[in-house]
Amino acid sequence: MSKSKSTASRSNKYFLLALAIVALCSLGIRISRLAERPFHCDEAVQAVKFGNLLEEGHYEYDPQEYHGPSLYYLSLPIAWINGVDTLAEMNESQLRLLPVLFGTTLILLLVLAVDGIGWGGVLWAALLTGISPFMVYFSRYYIQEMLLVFFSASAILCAWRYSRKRKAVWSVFTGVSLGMMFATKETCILSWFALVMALLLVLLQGKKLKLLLEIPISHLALAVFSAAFMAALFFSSFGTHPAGVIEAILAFPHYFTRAGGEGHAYPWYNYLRLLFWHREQGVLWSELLILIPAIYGGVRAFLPRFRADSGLSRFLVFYTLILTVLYSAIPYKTPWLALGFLQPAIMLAGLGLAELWRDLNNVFARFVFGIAILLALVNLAQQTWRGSFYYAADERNPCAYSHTSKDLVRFVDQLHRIVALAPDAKATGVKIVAPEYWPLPWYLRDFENVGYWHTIPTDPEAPVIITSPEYQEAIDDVVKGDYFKVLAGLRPGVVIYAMIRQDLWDAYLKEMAGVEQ
Amino acid sequence: MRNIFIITLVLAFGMILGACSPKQDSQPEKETGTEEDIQTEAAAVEEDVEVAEEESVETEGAEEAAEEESAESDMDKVELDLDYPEPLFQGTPVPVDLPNLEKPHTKRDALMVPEGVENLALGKEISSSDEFPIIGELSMITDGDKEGVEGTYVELGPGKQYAQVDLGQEANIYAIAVWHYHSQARAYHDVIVQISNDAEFAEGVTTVYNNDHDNSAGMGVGEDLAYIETNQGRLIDVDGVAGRYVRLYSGGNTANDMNHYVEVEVYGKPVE
Repeated sequence: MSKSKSTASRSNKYFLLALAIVALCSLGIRISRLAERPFHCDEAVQAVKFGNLLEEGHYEYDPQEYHGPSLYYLSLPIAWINGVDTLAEMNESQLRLLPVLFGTTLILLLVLAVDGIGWGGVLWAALLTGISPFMVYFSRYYIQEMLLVFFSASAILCAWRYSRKRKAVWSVFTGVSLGMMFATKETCILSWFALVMALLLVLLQGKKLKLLLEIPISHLALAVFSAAFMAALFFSSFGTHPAGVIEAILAFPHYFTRAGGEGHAYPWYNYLRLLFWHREQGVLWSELLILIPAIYGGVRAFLPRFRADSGLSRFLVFYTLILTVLYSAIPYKTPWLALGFLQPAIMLAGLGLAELWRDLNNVFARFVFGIAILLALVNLAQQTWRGSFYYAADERNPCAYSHTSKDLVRFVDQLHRIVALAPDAKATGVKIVAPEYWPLPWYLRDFENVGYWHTIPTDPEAPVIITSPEYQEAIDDVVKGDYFKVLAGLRPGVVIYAMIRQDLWDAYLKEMAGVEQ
Repeated sequence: MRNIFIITLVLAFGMILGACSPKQDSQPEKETGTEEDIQTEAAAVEEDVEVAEEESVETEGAEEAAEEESAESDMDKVELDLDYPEPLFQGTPVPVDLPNLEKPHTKRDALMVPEGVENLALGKEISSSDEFPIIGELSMITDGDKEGVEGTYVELGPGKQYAQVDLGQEANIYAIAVWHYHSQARAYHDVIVQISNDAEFAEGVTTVYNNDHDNSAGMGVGEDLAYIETNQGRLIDVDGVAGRYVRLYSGGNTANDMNHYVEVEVYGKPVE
């Protein structure tokens, strides 16, 4: 081995070690106090859907809602490792561990981009992924989004590896990633469109379109087969529900219809505002410190004196822009959808910081850059702490969209203590009569006699009735027993009334007084 | 050859995952009670209570009755149909962003006070358990601006916190009005209002409002009702209690665990 090869190999080892340390620290941030934030309504819905798979051992794809099945199937090993086989035994931390693992592995995945954006770019991108407030917040969120982001990045980077080495294994991995994107969320069609368009633009711009024709048919077939196989495997519920595959394809028009908004319609600039300048009731949030180097990295990729192969960086520029435009143009907007274009933007930001460091060729400039970047990282980390912990469920947090109030956890805890004192304990009847009650089905999953109504039933009487202010008067007129009413917050602007039968409430007060003494 | 190997690997991975997924019929159906169950159980509970009250004289009789009931229930055991509906799944909830103004027909009862009573809190000094509010200034609590929008309220830290008004001299207080936050439907927990001539509230304390229904604030169980914030605030009838300081507690709210004050007004007459 030559001396230069040996030095490069040693230096690669150091870079790998640095990447592993960043990933480990990111895991530490993501895994901390996982159960602290209340379950969002969407997390609760996904958890209860997963519970059906866990308890009944069967899943059937629903083309109307809840997206692909990968989240549920990939959660199973976590339940098995923890030795639980009912939803009641599972907790928030166990479920959120899945997005945490994907959010962390995403950082390690960046190693595949080394010969596209350099080791400097990879390490900066890893660091920014590790502490980006949005990336951290949604790595701790039990919905499909972080899985989709991971598989999208995996598809891009595996395809990049294939373009460099032309090995069949990378075409298979690319196919698997594309298939898993679909098996995770049908809306991946937007990412697929952006992927194809960005690829064509990069090749057109570099006058390398003929490279497409040089791909062996066998490799293309392998990629297509792998993608189809993975998607079919999951949508058919591992062969037990073959109709799921057709239903998944037919679901596309449904999701196009939903793109109209359904109460989540926001102006085109909403994502840019959420990500880069969100000031709400005196609290400012901004990931401008990622946007600015991303712009520099993007511009730098098209300037002369750039590294030998600019294919990946230019692809990322096109892909990020197309996806941003697509998501901004669609009226339906929720904060987690921004991750789709934030992740490639972070890779560009990593590239931008590495290039800026190279472009600054005097010590003083590099010193100023070092101080500035340190302050920027501290600011991002501080926002992440605020967003994922202090303001995790606060409506001022741009990530906390229509989020469950912490007050609900307080109330559920109180309800558990009340019911524990009841003669029937968890078999005590609980009737929930309200237009909106999620995520209560998650929090009351261990109750044996709980029912849910969107409208007032003929007989709403039960030891515990949970209702909304608009139904409360009508229920008051119907019930015969004496009840004590407790107010609790479901989410900002939505309160619920818990009507506790007086004897249960008295027993609770007696117990509380005993605890005080 | 390599391609075949890869395909085999992928297929094997799929088969392993398939084999590992739990069998469809390996779990028993989850049992859920019925409305009838609950009524029966509720009736049983009521009976239990009655028996407990009379237990000193009728213990033996109750035991016999319980045995008979138990034998009967064993004979009549049937599996009842489910009557409770399962939760319907719901998409991402739409954020609520409407001011929670009370319905137009709801009118607060008139509160009668002596002639010449005025807001003694206006512009007066405020102190708090949270000396460094997260948002706003403590002075906003008595600045006369009760609009409730950003820039007109103060946010105190999480959990139990208080704000205290110093009226400058002892006064007979007839009413206290408080606006916590009224741009959204929310209720504040453990709202407790006290009056005293002692700035430390160590002695001579009169509690004029307390809706801490379970003594979670540790200041005694209150009988007053919890309420949803509106633009009408909360008007507390104080009935001439004398004191220089008014202290208002709260312990977070239904939207978050912070404490807010848009305005506090203290209506009274200085003691001559």
